[in-house]
Amino acid sequence: MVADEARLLEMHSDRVYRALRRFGLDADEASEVAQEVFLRAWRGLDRFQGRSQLSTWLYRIAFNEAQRRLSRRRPPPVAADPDGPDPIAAIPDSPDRGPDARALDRELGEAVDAALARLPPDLRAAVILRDLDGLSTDEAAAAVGVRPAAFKSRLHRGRMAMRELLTPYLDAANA
Amino acid sequence: MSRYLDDQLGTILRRRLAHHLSECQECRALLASLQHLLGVLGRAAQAGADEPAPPLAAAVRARLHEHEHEHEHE
Repeated sequence: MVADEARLLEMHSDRVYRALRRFGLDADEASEVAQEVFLRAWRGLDRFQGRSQLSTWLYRIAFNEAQRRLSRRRPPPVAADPDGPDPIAAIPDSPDRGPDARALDRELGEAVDAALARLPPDLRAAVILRDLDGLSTDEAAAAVGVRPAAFKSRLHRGRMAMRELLTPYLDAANA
Repeated sequence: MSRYLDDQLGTILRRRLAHHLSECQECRALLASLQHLLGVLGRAAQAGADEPAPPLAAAVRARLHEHEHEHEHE
């Protein structure tokens, strides 16, 4: 494998792995799917003309496989207990990311993941790709195989659902 | 509202929504909560990026080498 291609793999592999974890796969499954996706990508690299097209294709294959695996499972567990301790309210605004801040950020990540798990897969993918992975609307729409207008509708419904699920946290963060 | 947040509304629609927001407390509250949500998601994304991922590229490279090796012996 030449250096450019190795760099290409490394550039995308962590992002796709984390997107798969957020989509609901456990660590082993996410690693397995990510490896398969990159093996397929490696064998078909000649077909891609640009990084954007490649990254969109990687997400598309990865999410299709993740959805196939998740559809064979029982419904996911329910999200965080809104009456329980509120991790977000205690998160300091300081950029100093000491051990306490990192622990709180982990709890925040868990609350977000639990809320994501309650969304239908199409809305979940929209929120992950746009708001967590930072793809543009056009890239994210291509990754899930819909037109940008349809994607925007999914994204809005996904955000509204996330807002509802995370209301106790958002209210606390706003207090 | 999401398109407003993402700066994807045309000038006219943006002005109309801005005017509506100046008069509607309910929509202002909705916009504020969506802005908070995006902040929370951004922070969660950053926290996730700090967590170590498994060495996928190395695993894929190893599997490709295995594959090439098998072909050499075929």
